[in-house]
Amino acid sequence: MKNFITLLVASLTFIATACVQAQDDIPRLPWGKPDFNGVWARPYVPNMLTEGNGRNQFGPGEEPFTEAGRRNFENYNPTEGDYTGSCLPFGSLRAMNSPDPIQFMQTETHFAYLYEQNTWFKVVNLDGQDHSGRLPDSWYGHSIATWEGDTLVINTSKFNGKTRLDTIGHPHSHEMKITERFSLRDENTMDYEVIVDDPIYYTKPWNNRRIFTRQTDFDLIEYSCMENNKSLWEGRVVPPDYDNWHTYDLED
Amino acid sequence: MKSNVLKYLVQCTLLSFVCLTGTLSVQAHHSIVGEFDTSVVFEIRGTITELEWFNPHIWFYMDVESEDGSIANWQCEMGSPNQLIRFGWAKEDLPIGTVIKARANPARDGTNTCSTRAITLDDGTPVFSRTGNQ
Repeated sequence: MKNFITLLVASLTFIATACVQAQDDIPRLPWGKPDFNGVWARPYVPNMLTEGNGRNQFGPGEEPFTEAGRRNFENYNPTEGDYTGSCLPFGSLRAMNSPDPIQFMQTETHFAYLYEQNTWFKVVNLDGQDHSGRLPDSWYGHSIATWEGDTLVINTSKFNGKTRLDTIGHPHSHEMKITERFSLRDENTMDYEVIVDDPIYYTKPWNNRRIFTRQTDFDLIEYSCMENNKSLWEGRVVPPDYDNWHTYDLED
Repeated sequence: MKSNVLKYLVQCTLLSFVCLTGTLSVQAHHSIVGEFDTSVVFEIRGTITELEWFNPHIWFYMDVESEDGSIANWQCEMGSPNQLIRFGWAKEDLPIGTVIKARANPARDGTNTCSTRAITLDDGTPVFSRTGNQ
């Protein structure tokens, strides 16, 4: 019996030590939260609904369209209007799908996304409150951030509906709500998950997971989208016709 | 201008430049299929006359000689300077007067405009590539 108790105590001590080591295996800020600060490389995701590449990007592998969603996607033709080619804002998801690196800057009160793509940024208050007030719907939406243990959870809604999810053109509506979850696996590896909930265009919520890798050997580089956008001003790319952007509008 | 493209595409076949059908997968800041016909891939060879090293895409200009000896100036785009810089390239790697080759997609508007994924010197040495030193 004595040997059993000794073995049990030793086992529990080992497990507790392992847990503490796992928790301490990620960099933390002085106030105890995981430290996401830094430049991160991420996979290019031109199509969020495929199964992904099986390495650092994982999608649902199906397109759970509503009828309005299917009609919108099948009618999408970038030759008739390309908002990113026109250097309009990419929106939260298209900006996260870009192949260019991203930098996160984090204080005790705010979390900032610095997208190298077009030198855009987005800042989220970490107090868990809705700060949208009477602000209009926007390209990047309005976010409310909370912590679930060491996972930063950012819920965003109130999008202006003028963007698409990815390069291939999957649609989203003004009703879309997204949940982004950020967590550190270790010092140089971040797990990122986004859950898309848009009852207008999709029959159910779906998610896309990625693995980001910390980059310590370079900084972000300035990126001016319009400086040499010959494709736009020579007429090979045209801005979108937002009057006919959403199929659900046409159904009303 | 459209006739120039048709003439070139026909001549590149006759000159044994390989005209292929396929899709070049590229990392672009927007969907290139709106601007370029990715179902058509052809090889182009020319002498660099100008290089614009600016975002969102670099553009290079080159004189392309046809079978009959006439010269047409083409403009072609590829990755952003930021992507190319991270792969180790610099603007100085492609001086004016360099002869290069590339596989390209033609612009849908029929002008002498193309999109490329990678270009090499005449001997096959890589110069710029959207996907690294390949």
